[in-house]
Amino acid sequence: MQRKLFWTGIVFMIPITAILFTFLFLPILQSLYFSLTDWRGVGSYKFIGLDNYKAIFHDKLFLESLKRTIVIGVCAAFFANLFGLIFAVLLDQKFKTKNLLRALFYLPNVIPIVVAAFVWRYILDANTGLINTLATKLLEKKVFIPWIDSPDYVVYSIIYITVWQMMGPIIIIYLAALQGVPHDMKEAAMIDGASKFRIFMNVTVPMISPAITVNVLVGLSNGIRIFDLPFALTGGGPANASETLAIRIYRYAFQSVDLGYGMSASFVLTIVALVITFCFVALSRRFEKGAHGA
Amino acid sequence: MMGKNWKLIGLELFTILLALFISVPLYLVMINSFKSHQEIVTRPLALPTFSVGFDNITRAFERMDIVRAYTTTLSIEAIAVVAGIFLSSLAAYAVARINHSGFRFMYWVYMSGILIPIQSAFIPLVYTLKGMGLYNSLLGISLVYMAVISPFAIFVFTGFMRTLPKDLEESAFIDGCSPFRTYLQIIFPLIKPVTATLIILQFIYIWNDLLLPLVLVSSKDYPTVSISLYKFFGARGAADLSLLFGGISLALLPILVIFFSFQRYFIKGLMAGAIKG
Repeated sequence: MQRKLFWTGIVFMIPITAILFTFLFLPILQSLYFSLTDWRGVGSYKFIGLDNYKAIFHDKLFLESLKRTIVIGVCAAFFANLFGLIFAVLLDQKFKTKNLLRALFYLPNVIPIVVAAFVWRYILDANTGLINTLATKLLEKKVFIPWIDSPDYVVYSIIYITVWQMMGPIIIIYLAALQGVPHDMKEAAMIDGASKFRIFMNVTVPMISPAITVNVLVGLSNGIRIFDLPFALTGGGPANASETLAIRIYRYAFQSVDLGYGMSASFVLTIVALVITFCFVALSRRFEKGAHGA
Repeated sequence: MMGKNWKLIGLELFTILLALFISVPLYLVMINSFKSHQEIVTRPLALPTFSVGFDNITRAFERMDIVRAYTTTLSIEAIAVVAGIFLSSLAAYAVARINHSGFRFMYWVYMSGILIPIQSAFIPLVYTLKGMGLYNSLLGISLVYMAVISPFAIFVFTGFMRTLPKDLEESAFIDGCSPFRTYLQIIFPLIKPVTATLIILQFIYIWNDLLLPLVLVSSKDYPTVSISLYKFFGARGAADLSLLFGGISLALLPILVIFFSFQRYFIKGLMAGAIKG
Protein backbone atom coordinates (compact mmCIF):
# COMPACT_ATOMS: atom_id res chain seq x y z
CA MET A 1 0.00 0.00 0.00
CA GLN A 2 2.81 2.39 0.84
CA ARG A 3 4.17 1.81 -2.68
CA LYS A 4 0.90 2.67 -4.35
CA LEU A 5 0.55 5.64 -2.06
CA PHE A 6 4.08 6.80 -2.92
CA TRP A 7 3.22 7.68 -6.50
CA THR A 8 -0.19 9.05 -5.54
CA GLY A 9 1.55 11.24 -3.00
CA ILE A 10 3.85 12.65 -5.62
CA VAL A 11 0.91 13.41 -7.90
CA PHE A 12 -0.89 15.05 -4.95
CA MET A 13 2.08 17.28 -4.27
CA ILE A 14 2.88 18.38 -7.83
CA PRO A 15 0.29 21.17 -8.38
CA ILE A 16 0.86 23.23 -5.24
CA THR A 17 4.59 22.54 -5.28
CA ALA A 18 4.86 23.83 -8.84
CA ILE A 19 2.93 26.97 -7.90
CA LEU A 20 5.02 27.47 -4.78
CA PHE A 21 8.30 27.16 -6.65
CA THR A 22 7.24 29.34 -9.58
CA PHE A 23 5.73 32.14 -7.54
CA LEU A 24 7.65 32.14 -4.27
CA PHE A 25 10.95 30.23 -4.24
CA LEU A 26 12.06 31.03 -7.78
CA PRO A 27 11.53 34.81 -7.41
CA ILE A 28 13.70 34.75 -4.28
CA LEU A 29 16.52 33.05 -6.21
CA GLN A 30 15.97 35.48 -9.08
CA SER A 31 16.32 38.42 -6.73
CA LEU A 32 19.66 36.98 -5.58
CA TYR A 33 20.82 36.36 -9.17
CA PHE A 34 19.79 39.72 -10.60
CA SER A 35 21.07 41.61 -7.57
CA LEU A 36 24.55 40.63 -8.80
CA THR A 37 23.94 42.14 -12.25
CA ASP A 38 23.23 45.54 -13.75
CA TRP A 39 19.91 44.34 -15.22
CA ARG A 40 17.45 47.16 -15.95
CA GLY A 41 14.33 45.12 -16.59
CA VAL A 42 14.93 44.60 -20.32
CA GLY A 43 17.84 43.74 -22.58
CA SER A 44 21.23 42.25 -21.84
CA TYR A 45 23.06 42.53 -18.56
CA LYS A 46 26.43 41.70 -17.06
CA PHE A 47 27.60 40.61 -13.66
CA ILE A 48 28.84 43.38 -11.44
CA GLY A 49 29.55 41.38 -8.29
CA LEU A 50 28.46 43.00 -5.05
CA ASP A 51 28.31 46.56 -6.43
CA ASN A 52 24.56 46.85 -5.83
CA TYR A 53 24.97 45.74 -2.23
CA LYS A 54 27.86 48.17 -1.72
CA ALA A 55 25.66 50.92 -3.13
CA ILE A 56 22.59 50.25 -0.98
CA PHE A 57 24.71 49.88 2.14
CA HIS A 58 25.90 53.42 1.46
CA ASP A 59 22.35 54.63 0.84
CA LYS A 60 21.12 56.41 3.95
CA LEU A 61 17.48 55.76 3.04
CA PHE A 62 18.10 52.02 2.80
CA LEU A 63 20.14 51.77 6.00
CA GLU A 64 17.57 53.71 7.98
CA SER A 65 14.67 51.69 6.62
CA LEU A 66 16.54 48.49 7.51
CA LYS A 67 17.17 49.66 11.07
CA ARG A 68 13.60 50.91 11.40
CA THR A 69 12.16 47.65 10.10
CA ILE A 70 14.09 45.63 12.67
CA VAL A 71 13.07 48.03 15.46
CA ILE A 72 9.40 47.81 14.42
CA GLY A 73 9.57 44.02 14.13
CA VAL A 74 11.23 43.47 17.50
CA CYS A 75 9.12 46.03 19.40
CA ALA A 76 5.85 44.90 17.83
CA ALA A 77 6.64 41.25 18.55
CA PHE A 78 7.61 42.04 22.14
CA PHE A 79 4.58 44.16 23.03
CA ALA A 80 2.09 42.04 21.09
CA ASN A 81 3.30 39.02 23.06
CA LEU A 82 3.42 40.77 26.42
CA PHE A 83 -0.11 42.17 26.12
CA GLY A 84 -1.30 39.15 24.17
CA LEU A 85 -0.37 36.86 27.04
CA ILE A 86 -1.93 39.15 29.66
CA PHE A 87 -5.16 39.41 27.66
CA ALA A 88 -5.19 35.64 27.10
CA VAL A 89 -4.94 35.08 30.87
CA LEU A 90 -7.88 37.47 31.33
CA LEU A 91 -9.95 35.79 28.62
CA ASP A 92 -9.20 32.39 30.16
CA GLN A 93 -11.28 33.35 33.25
CA LYS A 94 -14.83 32.10 33.66
CA PHE A 95 -16.48 35.26 32.33
CA LYS A 96 -20.12 35.34 31.26
CA THR A 97 -19.26 37.47 28.20
CA LYS A 98 -16.28 35.27 27.32
CA ASN A 99 -17.19 34.57 23.70
CA LEU A 100 -18.09 38.15 22.84
CA LEU A 101 -14.90 39.41 24.49
CA ARG A 102 -12.76 36.96 22.53
CA ALA A 103 -14.36 38.16 19.30
CA LEU A 104 -13.77 41.82 20.22
CA PHE A 105 -10.11 41.21 21.02
CA TYR A 106 -9.70 39.37 17.72
CA LEU A 107 -11.51 41.98 15.66
CA PRO A 108 -8.66 44.45 14.87
CA ASN A 109 -6.95 41.65 12.97
CA VAL A 110 -9.98 41.33 10.70
CA ILE A 111 -10.21 45.01 9.80
CA PRO A 112 -8.63 45.76 6.38
CA ILE A 113 -5.31 47.54 6.92
CA VAL A 114 -6.33 50.38 4.61
CA VAL A 115 -9.44 50.92 6.71
CA ALA A 116 -7.38 50.77 9.91
CA ALA A 117 -4.85 53.22 8.46
CA PHE A 118 -7.53 55.72 7.47
CA VAL A 119 -9.32 55.53 10.82
CA TRP A 120 -6.07 55.87 12.75
CA ARG A 121 -5.10 58.81 10.58
CA TYR A 122 -8.41 60.39 11.51
CA ILE A 123 -7.64 59.72 15.19
CA LEU A 124 -3.98 60.76 15.21
CA ASP A 125 -3.76 63.64 12.74
CA ALA A 126 -1.97 66.59 14.34
CA ASN A 127 -4.34 69.36 13.20
CA THR A 128 -7.77 67.80 12.80
CA GLY A 129 -7.21 64.48 14.59
CA LEU A 130 -9.59 63.20 17.21
CA ILE A 131 -7.11 62.96 20.09
CA ASN A 132 -5.71 66.45 19.70
CA THR A 133 -9.16 67.97 19.18
CA LEU A 134 -10.59 66.29 22.28
CA ALA A 135 -7.51 67.15 24.35
CA THR A 136 -7.76 70.77 23.24
CA LYS A 137 -11.41 70.89 24.31
CA LEU A 138 -10.77 69.19 27.65
CA LEU A 139 -7.68 71.16 28.65
CA GLU A 140 -8.97 74.40 27.14
CA LYS A 141 -5.62 75.11 25.57
CA LYS A 142 -4.22 74.18 22.17
CA VAL A 143 -2.86 70.63 22.19
CA PHE A 144 -0.66 69.79 19.22
CA ILE A 145 0.99 66.39 19.40
CA PRO A 146 2.17 65.29 15.94
CA TRP A 147 1.50 61.55 16.45
CA ILE A 148 2.04 60.71 12.80
CA ASP A 149 3.16 64.06 11.41
CA SER A 150 6.54 64.18 13.08
CA PRO A 151 9.53 61.96 12.25
CA ASP A 152 10.17 61.56 16.00
CA TYR A 153 6.73 60.14 16.83
CA VAL A 154 5.56 58.31 13.76
CA VAL A 155 7.45 55.04 14.39
CA TYR A 156 5.92 54.74 17.87
CA SER A 157 2.46 55.25 16.43
CA ILE A 158 3.11 52.58 13.82
CA ILE A 159 4.36 50.14 16.47
CA TYR A 160 1.25 50.84 18.56
CA ILE A 161 -1.13 50.28 15.64
CA THR A 162 0.77 47.16 14.56
CA VAL A 163 0.48 45.69 18.06
CA TRP A 164 -3.23 46.52 18.11
CA GLN A 165 -3.61 44.89 14.73
CA MET A 166 -1.56 41.70 15.23
CA MET A 167 -2.65 40.74 18.75
CA GLY A 168 -5.83 38.78 17.87
CA PRO A 169 -4.31 35.51 16.62
CA ILE A 170 -1.56 35.72 19.25
CA ILE A 171 -4.18 35.90 22.02
CA ILE A 172 -6.02 32.90 20.57
CA ILE A 173 -2.85 30.79 20.39
CA TYR A 174 -2.01 31.67 24.02
CA LEU A 175 -5.56 30.92 25.07
CA ALA A 176 -5.36 27.47 23.50
CA ALA A 177 -2.00 26.85 25.20
CA LEU A 178 -3.27 28.02 28.60
CA GLN A 179 -6.19 25.62 28.40
CA GLY A 180 -3.73 22.80 27.80
CA VAL A 181 -1.93 23.38 31.11
CA PRO A 182 -3.04 20.57 33.48
CA HIS A 183 -4.82 21.74 36.62
CA ASP A 184 -3.17 19.25 38.99
CA MET A 185 0.24 20.82 38.37
CA LYS A 186 -1.04 24.23 39.39
CA GLU A 187 -2.85 22.72 42.39
CA ALA A 188 0.27 20.90 43.53
CA ALA A 189 2.21 24.16 43.44
CA MET A 190 -0.64 25.92 45.28
CA ILE A 191 -0.56 23.30 48.07
CA ASP A 192 3.17 23.90 48.34
CA GLY A 193 2.24 27.49 49.12
CA ALA A 194 3.47 29.16 45.94
CA SER A 195 1.94 32.53 45.08
CA LYS A 196 -0.24 32.90 42.00
CA PHE A 197 2.43 34.92 40.24
CA ARG A 198 5.10 32.33 40.99
CA ILE A 199 2.86 29.52 39.78
CA PHE A 200 2.33 31.45 36.58
CA MET A 201 6.05 32.08 36.05
CA ASN A 202 7.32 28.65 37.13
CA VAL A 203 4.54 26.29 36.03
CA THR A 204 2.43 27.97 33.35
CA VAL A 205 5.12 29.81 31.37
CA PRO A 206 7.37 26.75 30.90
CA MET A 207 4.31 24.69 29.92
CA ILE A 208 3.27 27.17 27.24
CA SER A 209 6.78 27.88 25.96
CA PRO A 210 6.08 26.27 22.54
CA ALA A 211 3.22 28.77 22.09
CA ILE A 212 5.54 31.61 23.11
CA THR A 213 8.02 30.52 20.44
CA VAL A 214 5.34 30.36 17.76
CA ASN A 215 3.84 33.70 18.76
CA VAL A 216 7.12 35.58 18.90
CA LEU A 217 7.90 34.20 15.45
CA VAL A 218 4.48 35.30 14.18
CA GLY A 219 5.12 38.77 15.59
CA LEU A 220 8.66 39.06 14.25
CA SER A 221 7.90 37.80 10.78
CA ASN A 222 4.80 39.98 10.39
CA GLY A 223 6.64 42.94 11.85
CA ILE A 224 9.58 42.90 9.48
CA ARG A 225 7.30 42.37 6.46
CA ILE A 226 5.23 45.42 7.28
CA PHE A 227 4.22 47.37 4.19
CA ASP A 228 0.50 48.14 4.05
CA LEU A 229 0.11 50.07 7.29
CA PRO A 230 2.83 52.72 6.91
CA PHE A 231 2.11 52.87 3.18
CA ALA A 232 -1.55 53.74 3.69
CA LEU A 233 -1.10 55.69 6.95
CA THR A 234 1.72 58.07 6.04
CA GLY A 235 3.04 56.91 2.68
CA GLY A 236 6.37 56.28 4.42
CA GLY A 237 6.59 59.89 5.56
CA PRO A 238 7.04 62.41 6.94
CA ALA A 239 10.49 62.79 5.40
CA ASN A 240 10.79 59.00 4.94
CA ALA A 241 10.59 58.56 8.72
CA SER A 242 8.14 55.64 8.51
CA GLU A 243 9.60 53.99 5.45
CA THR A 244 10.08 50.27 6.08
CA LEU A 245 12.28 47.89 4.11
CA ALA A 246 9.31 46.64 2.07
CA ILE A 247 8.34 50.21 1.17
CA ARG A 248 11.97 50.99 0.26
CA ILE A 249 11.98 47.99 -2.09
CA TYR A 250 8.74 49.23 -3.63
CA ARG A 251 10.28 52.69 -4.15
CA TYR A 252 13.46 51.28 -5.70
CA ALA A 253 11.35 49.22 -8.08
CA PHE A 254 8.57 51.58 -9.07
CA GLN A 255 9.69 55.12 -8.31
CA SER A 256 13.43 55.45 -8.84
CA VAL A 257 13.42 52.26 -10.97
CA ASP A 258 16.75 51.02 -9.62
CA LEU A 259 15.97 47.36 -10.15
CA GLY A 260 19.44 46.23 -9.04
CA TYR A 261 19.05 48.09 -5.76
CA GLY A 262 15.51 46.76 -5.40
CA MET A 263 16.62 43.16 -5.92
CA SER A 264 19.52 43.57 -3.48
CA ALA A 265 17.24 45.10 -0.86
CA SER A 266 14.76 42.25 -1.47
CA PHE A 267 17.42 39.68 -0.83
CA VAL A 268 18.51 41.52 2.32
CA LEU A 269 14.90 41.32 3.54
CA THR A 270 14.85 37.56 2.93
CA ILE A 271 18.12 37.19 4.85
CA VAL A 272 16.83 39.33 7.72
CA ALA A 273 13.69 37.18 7.91
CA LEU A 274 15.69 33.95 7.96
CA VAL A 275 18.40 35.16 10.36
CA ILE A 276 15.90 36.55 12.88
CA THR A 277 13.98 33.26 12.79
CA PHE A 278 17.04 31.07 13.26
CA CYS A 279 18.48 33.24 16.02
CA PHE A 280 15.19 33.19 17.84
CA VAL A 281 14.59 29.45 17.43
CA ALA A 282 18.15 28.71 18.63
CA LEU A 283 17.66 31.04 21.58
CA SER A 284 14.31 29.56 22.60
CA ARG A 285 15.71 26.00 22.32
CA ARG A 286 18.51 26.93 24.69
CA PHE A 287 16.01 28.60 27.01
CA GLU A 288 13.70 25.58 26.99
CA LYS A 289 16.62 23.26 27.71
CA GLY A 290 17.68 25.52 30.57
CA ALA A 291 14.16 25.52 31.97
CA HIS A 292 13.97 21.73 31.86
CA GLY A 293 17.40 21.33 33.38
CA ALA A 294 16.53 23.51 36.35
CA MET B 1 -16.49 32.48 48.35
CA MET B 2 -18.39 35.74 48.03
CA GLY B 3 -15.13 37.70 47.80
CA LYS B 4 -13.89 35.50 45.01
CA ASN B 5 -17.05 36.14 43.04
CA TRP B 6 -16.71 39.91 43.32
CA LYS B 7 -13.13 39.63 42.24
CA LEU B 8 -14.17 37.75 39.11
CA ILE B 9 -16.85 40.33 38.29
CA GLY B 10 -14.33 43.13 38.78
CA LEU B 11 -11.89 41.38 36.50
CA GLU B 12 -14.62 40.90 33.91
CA LEU B 13 -15.53 44.60 34.00
CA PHE B 14 -11.87 45.48 33.60
CA THR B 15 -11.60 43.16 30.59
CA ILE B 16 -14.75 44.65 29.07
CA LEU B 17 -13.22 48.12 29.43
CA LEU B 18 -10.07 46.89 27.69
CA ALA B 19 -12.15 45.38 24.89
CA LEU B 20 -14.01 48.67 24.47
CA PHE B 21 -10.74 50.56 24.35
CA ILE B 22 -9.44 48.25 21.64
CA SER B 23 -12.71 48.67 19.73
CA VAL B 24 -12.63 52.49 19.65
CA PRO B 25 -11.64 52.64 15.94
CA LEU B 26 -14.51 50.33 15.06
CA TYR B 27 -16.94 52.37 17.16
CA LEU B 28 -15.81 55.49 15.30
CA VAL B 29 -16.56 53.85 11.97
CA MET B 30 -19.99 52.71 13.12
CA ILE B 31 -21.16 56.07 14.45
CA ASN B 32 -19.51 58.35 11.92
CA SER B 33 -20.84 56.44 8.93
CA PHE B 34 -24.24 57.90 9.82
CA LYS B 35 -23.25 61.52 10.44
CA SER B 36 -22.74 64.54 8.23
CA HIS B 37 -19.25 65.96 7.83
CA GLN B 38 -20.18 68.84 10.14
CA GLU B 39 -21.44 66.49 12.84
CA ILE B 40 -18.28 64.39 12.66
CA VAL B 41 -16.12 67.46 13.13
CA THR B 42 -18.09 69.02 15.98
CA ARG B 43 -19.25 65.94 17.88
CA PRO B 44 -16.88 63.11 16.94
CA LEU B 45 -17.77 60.69 19.74
CA ALA B 46 -21.51 61.28 19.98
CA LEU B 47 -24.05 58.75 18.76
CA PRO B 48 -25.47 59.68 15.36
CA THR B 49 -28.78 61.55 15.03
CA PHE B 50 -29.33 59.73 11.72
CA SER B 51 -29.97 63.08 10.02
CA VAL B 52 -28.21 61.77 6.92
CA GLY B 53 -29.56 58.22 7.06
CA PHE B 54 -27.58 55.93 4.78
CA ASP B 55 -26.48 58.85 2.58
CA ASN B 56 -22.76 58.46 3.28
CA ILE B 57 -22.79 54.83 2.32
CA THR B 58 -24.92 55.27 -0.80
CA ARG B 59 -22.82 58.23 -1.93
CA ALA B 60 -19.60 56.23 -1.51
CA PHE B 61 -21.30 53.29 -3.22
CA GLU B 62 -22.06 55.38 -6.29
CA ARG B 63 -18.75 57.19 -6.54
CA MET B 64 -16.29 54.43 -5.70
CA ASP B 65 -17.45 51.92 -8.31
CA ILE B 66 -17.60 49.48 -5.43
CA VAL B 67 -19.50 46.75 -7.27
CA ARG B 68 -16.56 46.27 -9.60
CA ALA B 69 -14.22 46.22 -6.62
CA TYR B 70 -16.31 43.55 -4.86
CA THR B 71 -16.43 41.48 -8.04
CA THR B 72 -12.66 41.71 -8.55
CA THR B 73 -11.81 40.81 -4.98
CA LEU B 74 -14.33 37.99 -4.84
CA SER B 75 -13.03 36.53 -8.11
CA ILE B 76 -9.48 36.48 -6.75
CA GLU B 77 -10.78 34.98 -3.51
CA ALA B 78 -12.73 32.30 -5.35
CA ILE B 79 -9.74 31.13 -7.38
CA ALA B 80 -6.98 31.57 -4.82
CA VAL B 81 -8.68 30.42 -1.62
CA VAL B 82 -10.62 27.46 -2.98
CA ALA B 83 -7.87 26.07 -5.20
CA GLY B 84 -5.05 27.05 -2.87
CA ILE B 85 -6.57 25.40 0.19
CA PHE B 86 -7.66 22.28 -1.69
CA LEU B 87 -4.28 21.73 -3.36
CA SER B 88 -2.51 22.39 -0.06
CA SER B 89 -4.64 19.74 1.63
CA LEU B 90 -3.63 17.22 -1.05
CA ALA B 91 0.07 17.93 -0.50
CA ALA B 92 -0.43 17.81 3.27
CA TYR B 93 -2.08 14.38 2.95
CA ALA B 94 0.97 13.05 1.11
CA VAL B 95 3.34 14.53 3.67
CA ALA B 96 1.31 13.34 6.65
CA ARG B 97 0.74 9.79 5.45
CA ILE B 98 3.82 8.66 3.56
CA ASN B 99 6.72 7.63 5.70
CA HIS B 100 9.58 8.36 3.33
CA SER B 101 12.58 10.65 3.65
CA GLY B 102 11.72 12.49 0.42
CA PHE B 103 8.32 13.47 1.79
CA ARG B 104 9.79 14.49 5.13
CA PHE B 105 12.23 16.69 3.22
CA MET B 106 9.37 18.29 1.27
CA TYR B 107 7.65 19.08 4.56
CA TRP B 108 10.62 21.25 5.52
CA VAL B 109 10.65 22.84 2.08
CA TYR B 110 7.02 23.83 2.59
CA MET B 111 7.78 25.10 6.09
CA SER B 112 10.57 27.32 4.79
CA GLY B 113 7.90 28.94 2.61
CA ILE B 114 6.24 30.30 5.77
CA LEU B 115 9.40 32.22 6.61
CA ILE B 116 9.97 33.81 3.21
CA PRO B 117 8.31 37.21 2.91
CA ILE B 118 6.44 37.77 -0.35
CA GLN B 119 7.53 41.39 0.15
CA SER B 120 11.02 40.33 -0.92
CA ALA B 121 9.81 38.50 -4.03
CA PHE B 122 7.53 40.98 -5.76
CA ILE B 123 10.00 42.62 -8.16
CA PRO B 124 11.06 39.35 -9.82
CA LEU B 125 7.41 38.24 -9.64
CA VAL B 126 6.36 41.13 -11.82
CA TYR B 127 8.78 39.96 -14.51
CA THR B 128 7.93 36.26 -14.07
CA LEU B 129 4.25 37.06 -14.54
CA LYS B 130 4.98 39.32 -17.54
CA GLY B 131 7.01 36.51 -19.11
CA MET B 132 4.10 34.09 -18.69
CA GLY B 133 1.54 36.59 -19.95
CA LEU B 134 -0.13 36.57 -16.53
CA TYR B 135 0.76 40.08 -15.43
CA ASN B 136 -2.33 42.21 -14.81
CA SER B 137 -4.68 39.22 -14.80
CA LEU B 138 -6.93 37.63 -12.21
CA LEU B 139 -5.32 34.24 -12.71
CA GLY B 140 -1.81 35.64 -12.25
CA ILE B 141 -2.47 37.36 -8.94
CA SER B 142 -4.53 34.39 -7.73
CA LEU B 143 -1.65 32.00 -8.43
CA VAL B 144 0.67 34.22 -6.40
CA TYR B 145 -1.83 34.25 -3.52
CA MET B 146 -1.99 30.46 -3.71
CA ALA B 147 1.79 30.35 -3.30
CA VAL B 148 1.60 32.74 -0.35
CA ILE B 149 -1.15 30.94 1.55
CA SER B 150 -0.15 27.32 0.84
CA PRO B 151 2.85 26.85 3.22
CA PHE B 152 0.79 27.79 6.28
CA ALA B 153 -2.18 25.74 5.06
CA ILE B 154 0.05 22.70 4.53
CA PHE B 155 1.52 23.19 8.01
CA VAL B 156 -1.91 23.23 9.66
CA PHE B 157 -3.37 20.40 7.55
CA THR B 158 -0.35 18.15 8.12
CA GLY B 159 -0.52 18.66 11.87
CA PHE B 160 -4.21 17.81 11.85
CA MET B 161 -4.03 14.82 9.50
CA ARG B 162 -1.30 13.17 11.56
CA THR B 163 -3.82 12.88 14.40
CA LEU B 164 -6.39 11.07 12.23
CA PRO B 165 -6.62 7.25 12.51
CA LYS B 166 -5.48 5.29 9.46
CA ASP B 167 -7.88 2.30 9.66
CA LEU B 168 -10.65 3.82 7.55
CA GLU B 169 -8.42 4.58 4.59
CA GLU B 170 -6.72 1.23 4.83
CA SER B 171 -9.99 -0.67 4.59
CA ALA B 172 -11.04 1.56 1.67
CA PHE B 173 -7.79 0.71 -0.12
CA ILE B 174 -8.33 -2.98 0.48
CA ASP B 175 -11.80 -2.63 -1.02
CA GLY B 176 -10.10 -1.29 -4.14
CA CYS B 177 -10.98 2.36 -3.76
CA SER B 178 -8.58 4.66 -5.62
CA PRO B 179 -6.39 6.95 -3.47
CA PHE B 180 -8.02 10.10 -4.84
CA ARG B 181 -11.53 8.83 -4.14
CA THR B 182 -10.42 7.68 -0.70
CA TYR B 183 -9.11 11.16 -0.07
CA LEU B 184 -12.30 12.87 -1.22
CA GLN B 185 -14.72 10.52 0.54
CA ILE B 186 -12.90 9.69 3.74
CA ILE B 187 -10.23 12.27 4.56
CA PHE B 188 -11.84 15.40 3.23
CA PRO B 189 -15.01 15.16 5.38
CA LEU B 190 -12.79 14.67 8.45
CA ILE B 191 -10.73 17.82 7.85
CA LYS B 192 -13.72 20.09 7.22
CA PRO B 193 -13.39 22.09 10.49
CA VAL B 194 -9.73 22.93 9.81
CA THR B 195 -10.55 23.69 6.20
CA ALA B 196 -13.25 26.13 7.25
CA THR B 197 -10.90 27.92 9.63
CA LEU B 198 -8.19 28.18 6.99
CA ILE B 199 -10.65 29.45 4.38
CA ILE B 200 -11.86 32.25 6.65
CA LEU B 201 -8.31 33.16 7.67
CA GLN B 202 -7.03 33.36 4.10
CA PHE B 203 -10.20 35.02 2.83
CA ILE B 204 -9.58 37.83 5.31
CA TYR B 205 -5.90 38.08 4.36
CA ILE B 206 -6.64 38.44 0.65
CA TRP B 207 -9.54 40.84 1.21
CA ASN B 208 -7.27 43.09 3.28
CA ASP B 209 -4.04 42.86 1.28
CA LEU B 210 -2.75 46.00 -0.37
CA LEU B 211 0.71 45.09 -1.68
CA LEU B 212 0.03 42.43 -4.30
CA PRO B 213 -2.86 44.18 -6.06
CA LEU B 214 -0.72 47.31 -6.03
CA VAL B 215 2.19 45.72 -7.87
CA LEU B 216 0.73 42.79 -9.85
CA VAL B 217 -2.41 44.24 -11.45
CA SER B 218 -3.48 47.63 -12.73
CA SER B 219 -6.05 49.26 -10.50
CA LYS B 220 -7.92 50.46 -13.59
CA ASP B 221 -8.52 46.94 -14.86
CA TYR B 222 -8.73 45.02 -11.59
CA PRO B 223 -9.52 47.28 -8.65
CA THR B 224 -9.71 45.24 -5.46
CA VAL B 225 -11.65 46.61 -2.51
CA SER B 226 -8.56 47.65 -0.53
CA ILE B 227 -6.97 49.31 -3.55
CA SER B 228 -10.18 51.13 -4.49
CA LEU B 229 -10.48 52.56 -1.01
CA TYR B 230 -6.80 53.48 -0.95
CA LYS B 231 -6.81 55.15 -4.36
CA PHE B 232 -10.13 56.90 -3.85
CA PHE B 233 -9.14 58.63 -0.61
CA GLY B 234 -5.40 58.68 -1.17
CA ALA B 235 -6.00 61.14 -3.98
CA ARG B 236 -8.49 63.46 -2.31
CA GLY B 237 -7.46 63.11 1.34
CA ALA B 238 -10.09 63.26 4.04
CA ALA B 239 -11.69 66.56 3.04
CA ASP B 240 -15.14 64.98 3.24
CA LEU B 241 -15.19 62.83 6.38
CA SER B 242 -18.72 61.59 5.82
CA LEU B 243 -17.75 60.22 2.42
CA LEU B 244 -14.59 58.70 3.93
CA PHE B 245 -16.54 56.84 6.60
CA GLY B 246 -19.11 55.75 4.02
CA GLY B 247 -16.33 54.25 1.91
CA ILE B 248 -14.74 52.65 4.94
CA SER B 249 -18.03 50.95 5.84
CA LEU B 250 -18.28 49.50 2.36
CA ALA B 251 -14.83 47.92 2.62
CA LEU B 252 -15.40 46.76 6.18
CA LEU B 253 -18.97 45.51 6.17
CA PRO B 254 -18.61 42.27 4.17
CA ILE B 255 -15.61 41.15 6.19
CA LEU B 256 -17.41 41.89 9.48
CA VAL B 257 -20.47 39.96 8.36
CA ILE B 258 -18.29 36.97 7.51
CA PHE B 259 -16.33 37.22 10.75
CA PHE B 260 -19.38 37.47 13.00
CA SER B 261 -21.32 34.73 11.21
CA PHE B 262 -18.47 32.26 11.60
CA GLN B 263 -16.93 33.78 14.71
CA ARG B 264 -17.53 31.05 17.28
CA TYR B 265 -16.67 28.32 14.88
CA PHE B 266 -13.66 30.24 13.64
CA ILE B 267 -12.07 31.00 17.00
CA LYS B 268 -12.69 27.43 18.19
CA GLY B 269 -11.10 26.10 15.02
CA LEU B 270 -8.09 28.36 15.46
CA MET B 271 -7.66 27.18 19.04
CA ALA B 272 -7.93 23.53 18.07
CA GLY B 273 -5.46 24.11 15.26
CA ALA B 274 -3.09 25.90 17.62
CA ILE B 275 -2.97 22.91 19.95
CA LYS B 276 -2.30 20.42 17.19
CA GLY B 277 0.07 22.56 15.17
